[in-house]
Amino acid sequence: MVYAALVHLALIALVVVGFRWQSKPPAAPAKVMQAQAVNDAETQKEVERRKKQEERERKAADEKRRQEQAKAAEQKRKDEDKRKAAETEKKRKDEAQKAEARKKKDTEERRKSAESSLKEQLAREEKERTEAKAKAEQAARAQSELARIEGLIRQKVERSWVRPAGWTKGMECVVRVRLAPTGEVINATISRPSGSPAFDRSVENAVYKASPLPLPEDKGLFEHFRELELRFRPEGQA
Amino acid sequence: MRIVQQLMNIILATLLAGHASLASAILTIEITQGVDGGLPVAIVPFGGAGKDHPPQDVAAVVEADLARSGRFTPLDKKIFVSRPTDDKQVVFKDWRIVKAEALVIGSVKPAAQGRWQVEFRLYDIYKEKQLAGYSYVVGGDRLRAVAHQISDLIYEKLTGEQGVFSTRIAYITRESVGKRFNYKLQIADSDGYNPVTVLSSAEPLISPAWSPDGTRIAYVSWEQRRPILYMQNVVNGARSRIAEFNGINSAPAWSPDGTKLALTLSRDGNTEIYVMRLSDSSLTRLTSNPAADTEPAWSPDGRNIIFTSDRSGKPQIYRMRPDGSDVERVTFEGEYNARASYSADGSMLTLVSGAQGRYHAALLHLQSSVLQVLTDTPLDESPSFAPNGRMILYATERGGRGVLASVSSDGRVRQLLKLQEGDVREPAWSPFNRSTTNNQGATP
Repeated sequence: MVYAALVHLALIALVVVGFRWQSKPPAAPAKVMQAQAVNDAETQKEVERRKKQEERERKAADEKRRQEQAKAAEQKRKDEDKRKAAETEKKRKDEAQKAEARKKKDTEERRKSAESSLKEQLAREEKERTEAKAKAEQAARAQSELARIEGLIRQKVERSWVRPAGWTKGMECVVRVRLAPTGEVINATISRPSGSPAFDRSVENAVYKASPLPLPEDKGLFEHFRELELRFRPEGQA
Repeated sequence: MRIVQQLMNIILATLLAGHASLASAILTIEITQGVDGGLPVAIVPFGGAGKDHPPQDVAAVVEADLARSGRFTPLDKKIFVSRPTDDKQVVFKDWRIVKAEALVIGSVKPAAQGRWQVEFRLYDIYKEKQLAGYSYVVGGDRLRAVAHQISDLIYEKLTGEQGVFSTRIAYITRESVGKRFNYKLQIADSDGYNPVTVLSSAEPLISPAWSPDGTRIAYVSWEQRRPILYMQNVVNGARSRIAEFNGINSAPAWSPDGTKLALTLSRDGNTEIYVMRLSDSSLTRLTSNPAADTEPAWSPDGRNIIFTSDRSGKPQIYRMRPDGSDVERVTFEGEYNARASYSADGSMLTLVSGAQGRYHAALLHLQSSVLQVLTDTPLDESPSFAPNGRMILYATERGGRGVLASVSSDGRVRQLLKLQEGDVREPAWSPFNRSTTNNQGATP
């Protein structure tokens, strides 16, 4: 197949190149014969033969030359073809390369943009996660701080509470306490009396005596302590 | 990604909701522990008029009363920042510093006709307000009585219960006179001061018992060389024999309405409990047991009579109806339980509880059956409730002789009563005083 293609190419090339070759014939080597008068007839014959010979030879030479020329042309054409093919190939390759590059660039760009949007999303989610975590941690911190302060308040009130003689298990007195941001007890009112005025009084006094009550350093948590309920329920040996 | 985000949202929402609920719901803190003790009260020495010293330190009497009750802890005057004697000098902050919950100030000044004007004010330190303020004009001999009234007012204002400082106590003293003894039935203030002799005898006197109205005392006297039951009016001294049956006549106990006496008689051979109707001296026998049954006492509602019986082999407390039915044993703890009587609210008995030569004043909480020993001295006897049930008067021994002591019903505060020489026994705390002293109860 390749051969056939080449032959075809050669033929086409021949047509194309042949024209050039006709318009510019190469200097053909001429074989000069020295005429001799020999037997005329013979000579004639000879001349004839020679003429024929020469003609033959000339023809052969022509043929040869033509063939050589064709060959050269062929070669040249082939070379040219090769060059052209190479050029074309190169061009094609270049273009392909360019296309590839472009494509690559596009892909890269697309990938990059996709990547960046993914990154953004991830970042966004990460940020949300972090914020949520921070909020959760803050809430947990607030919780433990509330519990800590609650404990401190309990301790201080218990230290201040003089349980009156005659208290019994099951007695209960609930007191509502309003605090200033300094922890000072603004007022303490019995919301559920125990039934024993002495017990209730001891409860009120315990709250006022414990004033100021401990508060969290974080002022933001004060709201939890602005209003408190203290439930007095004595335990232990009466 | 979306799931994570949604999860996050849910978590966040939950947290925020939790936060919100924290913010809206009121924080409740449980208080279960405290210091068991008396209410800290600052009693400032009363002011007066320079040179003229009243015959009684009224503030000191008030302080001793409040301390003895166990309900108050008077603060040491050394820590006082100020010593106000009238309203204008009171600075509440001064008293919060020393952790006082209440403040008592006052003055005793000479008044016309050798009398004294006593003023006092009681303050709530934390509420910064006056709770009581009274003025009295009395003779010097009534200053202690006024002091007890002031103590009662303070007690009532601060505890919501009636004070017993103006009530009286009855008891028996025994003094050596040569080779013999002299016995006296006496009545004194609740702190043992101002004793008045109701009856004096060369023979033993025992078991004084106040009538519910506080006007009469029933008691047992050996003046006829055998125990006979008498009743005596403490106001006019009028006296009558109640029971002089053969054998023992003893252990009188008034019914709550004052119309009957439960008593112990051995006229039928064995020591049994009877009820006598005072209007016609009719007798009903309540017990019928080969063991000794004695020391009856009525419940405040009149529906039960408790008594001591050794029917189980050792003295224990039993309960029955006033007709002698439904007898049941009440005490099970301890080898020896005797001489029981009810608190005014009927929830407790005070009794002598012990074993092997050690006898203590104790409380029996009827609902829980918990027996609470109040004293640690070895020979305590005749415990008697104060009419408000918050203190118990009993006899004990100190230096080889009988003395009276009081203990708060939580057992925390015990104090010997100041009484004159001699052996003192058989105390009985009076009911609430019906009569009042000249109280000019004007709030200044």
